[in-house]
Amino acid sequence: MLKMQNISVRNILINLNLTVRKNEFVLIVGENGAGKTTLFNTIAGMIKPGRGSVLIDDQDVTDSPLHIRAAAVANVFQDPKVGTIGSMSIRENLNMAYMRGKKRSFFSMGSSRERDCIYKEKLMPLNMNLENRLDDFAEDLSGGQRQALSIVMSLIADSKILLLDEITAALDSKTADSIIEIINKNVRKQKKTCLMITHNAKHIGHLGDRTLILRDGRAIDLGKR
Amino acid sequence: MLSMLELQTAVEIGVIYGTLSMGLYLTFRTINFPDLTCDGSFVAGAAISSALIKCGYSPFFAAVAAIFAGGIAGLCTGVLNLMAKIEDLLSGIIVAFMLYSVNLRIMGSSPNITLVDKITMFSEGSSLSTACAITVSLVILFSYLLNTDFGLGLRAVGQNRQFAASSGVNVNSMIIVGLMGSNALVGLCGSIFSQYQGFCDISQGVGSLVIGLASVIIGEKMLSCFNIRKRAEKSFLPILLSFVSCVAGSIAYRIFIAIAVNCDALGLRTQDINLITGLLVIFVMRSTKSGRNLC
Repeated sequence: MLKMQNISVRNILINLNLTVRKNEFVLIVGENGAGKTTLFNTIAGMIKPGRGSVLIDDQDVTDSPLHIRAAAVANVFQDPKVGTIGSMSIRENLNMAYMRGKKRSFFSMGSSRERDCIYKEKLMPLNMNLENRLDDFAEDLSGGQRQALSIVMSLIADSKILLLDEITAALDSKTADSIIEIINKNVRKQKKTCLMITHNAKHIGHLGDRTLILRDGRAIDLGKR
Repeated sequence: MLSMLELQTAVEIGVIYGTLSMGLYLTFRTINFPDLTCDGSFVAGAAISSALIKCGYSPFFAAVAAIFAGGIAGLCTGVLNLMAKIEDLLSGIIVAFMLYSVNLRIMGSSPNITLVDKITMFSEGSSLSTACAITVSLVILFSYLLNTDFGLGLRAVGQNRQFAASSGVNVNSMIIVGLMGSNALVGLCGSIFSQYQGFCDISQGVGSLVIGLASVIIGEKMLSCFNIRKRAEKSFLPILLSFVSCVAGSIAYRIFIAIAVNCDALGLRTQDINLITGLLVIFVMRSTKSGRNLC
C-alpha cells in the first residue's frame, strides 16, 4: 500500500494526501503544471518533500535514497531516452531492470540463458521482434520500440509499485493500445500497485480502478469507474 | 629514420602506458568523471614500488602496493567530491597537488630513486613479453568485470546517473569504486614504467593525463574508422574492444611520437614532445568533431 501524508513540495504540491491500496490501478489526470510528474518523482524518491511523509507498506521511506527505494518503485518516463541507455544492448538494459533491488555481484555475468528466456517471454507479446534483437543497441531502436522496451523493463522488475508517466504519448494509437493491454494484464497478474498519468480521454473511465485529478496541488478523487 | 630498436622501445612503452589509458577510460568514459588525480597517482605508484624494491621487496609485491596506493588516491578524490561536495575537477587537482608532498615522503625526500642492480619485473625475459602479459591480463580482467552485473551498474552510472539510481544502483559508491579502480591502474602503470626505466622521478607523472587521454582518443578513432563496435554482436565484445583500443591507441601514440622525434626532416627534438602531443590531440579531436575519418 502507498500512503502519502500532508506532502508539500515547493508550491507545486500542497498538503497532498493520497492512499493507494495494494493491487490498485489508479489513473492520474490534471492540467499541465498541476504537479503530476512532481508527485511521481516524490513517490520514486527523486524529489524529497519539504513536508509530509511517504509510506510504502506502512514503512516510512521519505528519507530513503532513490537507489534504496528503487527496489519497491519502478517508473516509466515519458521520454524513453531517460528510461533506457542507448549505448547498451537491449539485453543489458533488461539486465539493469532484472537486477533492480538485487545485490550486484562481481562474479555473475550479466547474461545467461535463464534470463534470456525471461526477456524473450516478456518481449514477445509486443510483436516488435525485439526478442530476436537482444544484442542490438537500444539507440538503434525507434522511439516507440524504445518506449516499449522501457515498459517491459518496468514489468521485469520485482517492484511493488509501478509509476507510468504518459507512456503512450510518443506511440501510434495501435502500438499504444497493445502496450496498455500488456500493462493492464501484467499489473493484474503480478499484483502490482500501479499509478498512471494520462491525458488520453480514452483511458479515463475505461482503464484502472479509479481516477484522481490533481488540481491546485491537491488530489481530488473522481471515484471508481 | 626510426631504427628497429627505437620502434621496439616505442611499442614496449606503448603497451605499458596502455594500462594508464585503460585507467583513464574507466573514469572519463565509463563513469563519466573528469578525474585529474592521474598525474599524482602515477608517481605514487612509481614511488611506492621503487621504495619497496630498493628495500629488497619483490617487484610483484611492489606492484601490488602501487595498485593500493593508486586506489587510495582515487578514494580521496571520490570522498572530496561526494562527501565534501568539492567539484570533480578541483577534487582531482587537489589530491594530485597533495600527492606531490606524499610522494616525496615515500621517496625519502629524494626527488628520484634508482633501481640499478635491483631485481625488477623486467630483469628476466623480454621486456615486451612481460609488458604484454600484464596488459593483456588487465584487458581481459576489466572486460570481464564490466560485463558482470556490478560492471553493468558502473557503466550505467556513466551513461545516465538518474536511470542508474532509479534502477537501484548506489551511484556514489559506484563513482568511488570507479575512481579507485582507475587510479589503481594508473598507479600500477607508474610502478611498471619505473621498473622498466630502472628509476623513479618525482616529475615522472607530469603530462601522463594528456598522454593517457590522447591514447584513449586515438584508440577510439581507430575503432570508429573500422566501424568495429557496431559489428561486435556479443555484449562482451564492445567492452573488450574499447580496452583493446586504449592499448592500441597508446602504442600508436608512442610510435607517432617516435617517428616525429626521429624524423630529421621535421627538425623536432625530444623537448618538443609536449607540443607534438598537444597538436596530435587537437588534430584527432578536431577530426572527431567534424566527423571526418582519418582513414
